[in-house]
Amino acid sequence: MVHALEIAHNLLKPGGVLVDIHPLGAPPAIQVRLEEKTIQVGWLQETDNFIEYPQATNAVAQAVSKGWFALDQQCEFIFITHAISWEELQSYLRTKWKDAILPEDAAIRVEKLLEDFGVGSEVVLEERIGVMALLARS
Amino acid sequence: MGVSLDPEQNETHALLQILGDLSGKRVLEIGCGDGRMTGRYAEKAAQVIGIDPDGDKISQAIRTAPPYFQERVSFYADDLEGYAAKWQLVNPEEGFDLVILAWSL
Repeated sequence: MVHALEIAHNLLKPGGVLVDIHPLGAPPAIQVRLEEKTIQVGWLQETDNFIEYPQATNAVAQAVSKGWFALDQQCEFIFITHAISWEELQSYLRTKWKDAILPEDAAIRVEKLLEDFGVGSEVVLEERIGVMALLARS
Repeated sequence: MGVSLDPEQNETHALLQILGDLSGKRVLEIGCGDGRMTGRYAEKAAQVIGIDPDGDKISQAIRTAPPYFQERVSFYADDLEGYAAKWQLVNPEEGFDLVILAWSL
């Protein structure tokens, strides 16, 4: 990861900016929603316990300490994945988020809540994402 | 598929807030995947190059690119190390104004 940041630094013009976007590593919340109603069902886990995200944060800190970059700005946002059913969410995760683990007991609960909430209800994942802008130093 | 990603555009708002004015800027997006995020800012930049080692995702990015991408956005199936070596061979004096690590570090 630190090597990737060094390469990125070398590709930037003097005074150029590197923007890094990566999840902060907190397990994403699984919720069932209908308009203003939200029920928390559990949390998504990963087979490697989200280890790559603190590693990415640490790599950025190392790149700053090596003098390649100076932190300019940072912010956070919530990335929300919406699915119309539990099956659709599972299908999506199988192809796009292969190390995701959904809690075993969540399926029945989510399907029951979707049924209770009725038309327009959905299951969502809420994930905290960090964004950093780093100024390239020569 | 009955899945939608960030319809609230929280990512777009955060990104545009932190990127600032992109006019006239040359951007490299590392880990662009199928171009999902590229479409959220590319219209504002002068030139965007998106790279991703996954050739299938790059094919999808090219296939689904909006018409205005043709003028300013290019996608390549390559990893960072390979692309950087090629870029520096062909453009030794030129750098990017902005490099985005898109969920890829």
